[in-house]
Amino acid sequence: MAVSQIRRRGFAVVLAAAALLATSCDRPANEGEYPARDVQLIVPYPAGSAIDTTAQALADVINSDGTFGKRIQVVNREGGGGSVGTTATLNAKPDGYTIGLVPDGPLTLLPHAEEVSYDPDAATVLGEVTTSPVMFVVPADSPYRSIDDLVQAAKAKPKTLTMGDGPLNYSIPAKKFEQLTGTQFKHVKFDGDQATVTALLGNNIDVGVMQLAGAVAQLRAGKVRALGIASAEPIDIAKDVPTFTEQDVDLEWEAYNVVIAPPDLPKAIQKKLTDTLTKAVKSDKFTAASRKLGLVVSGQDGATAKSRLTDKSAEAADILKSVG
Amino acid sequence: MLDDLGAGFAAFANPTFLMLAVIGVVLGTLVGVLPGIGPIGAMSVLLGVTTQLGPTGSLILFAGIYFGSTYGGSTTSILLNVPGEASSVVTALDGYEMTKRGRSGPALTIAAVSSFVAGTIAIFGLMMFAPWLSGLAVELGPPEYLALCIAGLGLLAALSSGSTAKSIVMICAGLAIATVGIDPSRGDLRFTFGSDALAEGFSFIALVMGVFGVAEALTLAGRKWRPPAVKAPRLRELLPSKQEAREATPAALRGSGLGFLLGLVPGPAAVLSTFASYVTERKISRRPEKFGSGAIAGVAGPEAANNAAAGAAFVPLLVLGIPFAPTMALVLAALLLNGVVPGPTFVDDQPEMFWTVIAAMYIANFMLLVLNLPLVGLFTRLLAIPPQALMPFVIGLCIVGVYAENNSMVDVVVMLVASLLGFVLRRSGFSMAPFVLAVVLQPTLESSLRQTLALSDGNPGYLLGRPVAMVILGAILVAVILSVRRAAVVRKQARTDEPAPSASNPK
Repeated sequence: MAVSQIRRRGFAVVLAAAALLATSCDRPANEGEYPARDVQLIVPYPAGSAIDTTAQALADVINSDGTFGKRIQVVNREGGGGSVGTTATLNAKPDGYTIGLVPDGPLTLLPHAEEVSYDPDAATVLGEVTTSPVMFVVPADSPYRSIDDLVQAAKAKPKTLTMGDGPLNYSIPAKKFEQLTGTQFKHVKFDGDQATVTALLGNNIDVGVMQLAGAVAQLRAGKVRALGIASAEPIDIAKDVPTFTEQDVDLEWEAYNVVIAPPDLPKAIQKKLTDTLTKAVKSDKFTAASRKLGLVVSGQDGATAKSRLTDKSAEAADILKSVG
Repeated sequence: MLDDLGAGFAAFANPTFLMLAVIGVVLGTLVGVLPGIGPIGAMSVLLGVTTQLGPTGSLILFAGIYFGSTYGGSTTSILLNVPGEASSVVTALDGYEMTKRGRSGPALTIAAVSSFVAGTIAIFGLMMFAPWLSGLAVELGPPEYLALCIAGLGLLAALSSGSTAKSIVMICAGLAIATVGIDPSRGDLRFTFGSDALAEGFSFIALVMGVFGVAEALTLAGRKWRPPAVKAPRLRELLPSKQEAREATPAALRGSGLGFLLGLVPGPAAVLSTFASYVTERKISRRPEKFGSGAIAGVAGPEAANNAAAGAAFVPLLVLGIPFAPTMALVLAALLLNGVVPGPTFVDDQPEMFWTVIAAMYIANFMLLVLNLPLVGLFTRLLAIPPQALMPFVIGLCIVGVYAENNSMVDVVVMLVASLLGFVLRRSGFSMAPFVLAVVLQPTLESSLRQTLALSDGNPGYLLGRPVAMVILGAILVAVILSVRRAAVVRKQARTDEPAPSASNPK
């Protein structure tokens, strides 16, 4: 079932007729006076997901600041592990009225696993908004206290411990972990962090591969524990979680949430968007929202973001090749 | 807890919410009064605007419609012997008899007060049970969710009146339709026949507006229509006698308890609870022979039961994230459209919304009590509007609404095709409720099935270690066996007696 949705909060309660009127005003924009109308920020995941909440927070900062001139509207186009929304973004007209906030998966991982109808290398990358490192999370009463405990237990009983993972940004680091430690788990796929954390709370799986953002609420409530975080350095908002590297497993895996636009975006529009985004990402309001969500504010520029994407894509290709 | 509830009521200082509650109960009463178009139709038409209302506003509106329709349905049952909803079929048995004896006023009052009392009890139950059940529900894993999905669909098919085989066909159709699109765990395209438009699957809004909103309008417009002669009772005729009040009170309380318990379990609870309450009242009555010729307990019990069941139906939705009734499927869709995913962590994570919903239900029930009795005359006069005049408006609203949702003409076409299929299938006795519920439950059913298979390595013995799942599956088996036996008994009776009139018509 595809429950695709458009959210236009703040609209008055209007009947559907009025909604039609509002959406049919898609007149072509005049060159030179960008933005002449509202900009759609496509999010390729459902409303309520961490990336969606990030987009809402970002749009909220830009809209309430007002200097952009028009509003940013968040549009959810989920499906296909992100490929539906990414396709909609990258194959849109490069006029600056369709941009997307996407996790790197559809750009770096998905093209290795299936045929996609867009060219990730040609995408215009406007900047990196936030990152979300992967974590291994266990139920609060789990016997495992460290990554080493988990590895020992998995080695004692291969293919018995259950590991909840999900889309590629979860299943690839899970595979890499198995390669690095010489272990094998029984994999159960969940649709996302919400489903994985529920399974952990009910002791239905031994360990869950999650992103910091999805686990942060239950971590703070003490209902689950994190064994390790796959970031280069310990993360400020989850100080007491040691990195994998500190525990002698060389696993670094983060989701990069980047703002992209169709290829060949005119330079002037690109600059206007980049400036607006950079200002919004660096704002206190966005930082506070990200902190609450368990996201690490990044603010890397387009060029840096693009090269990080290229590196991750290459690494993913290697891992996928080695597991067949 | 009282503080939380207070905060919930405080949200209604927001005039938008208050207005939505009024709109909801009036609309709900309206569709309850009008036979042919029901709460599912009304909700599906409004699904398109829920994204503008936000999650809380949508819940308030939909709760109003839901409760309003169970109130409204009883009005026409009592005055005209025309049940507006399947859940008020039983009310007509004694309610209309009372009207014939000139006691329509007391019947309406008792029905409304019983509904209010039951609604209050149900809300109190929801308040007490939901947080506690959430704690238990967290323990449920993929096998239990799988069992619950099967129970929700299986019991709806087995217990709905009408052909079980036809319900099963509609469930399979719903499950099949919902698999179109992208495979959730592997990302492969399924049954899209190379069409980009189908890559996201069929839009749920388009499907449900088609098979309910538009198809109901078509059915109604095609019906021969004669303005009914209704005499609404005057205000001072509304008061029941002491004797009537004394007989109605315990019946309403029993009906509330029964309805609430039935509302918690999968299956068509609102309809079943009215039958269960009626049978119970007749059984324990000192004068069972009065039933069928205007027994007030036969109005009070079922009317309380269906309202309590309506309130209780929110429990599995909010606690498990699984709708057991098609109306709840619509409520779930409205929540998902707003990015709210109900489930075991919902009450903990979003307490403000939970308590606002409780307050919304309470306010809706109260509004219905104060609005409905004085306005009975107005609502019955609405029956004098020929449906042919009203229905083009409904269809137009559906087309605009479904287009506005995604700016997609494909969705409009999907809706129109679905409506024609729905129209034809209804006329052949297929019910659309199992279809809609199947479409909504398919993703949960599929992912929990795949997770269970992964956890168990495909070994059925795994289920033996999951007692909760075993109990649920066992209960389904018992229910199916009972319903097959009941069907056999009915067939036997039909052969010996007159053909038994079908007890209710499922929506």
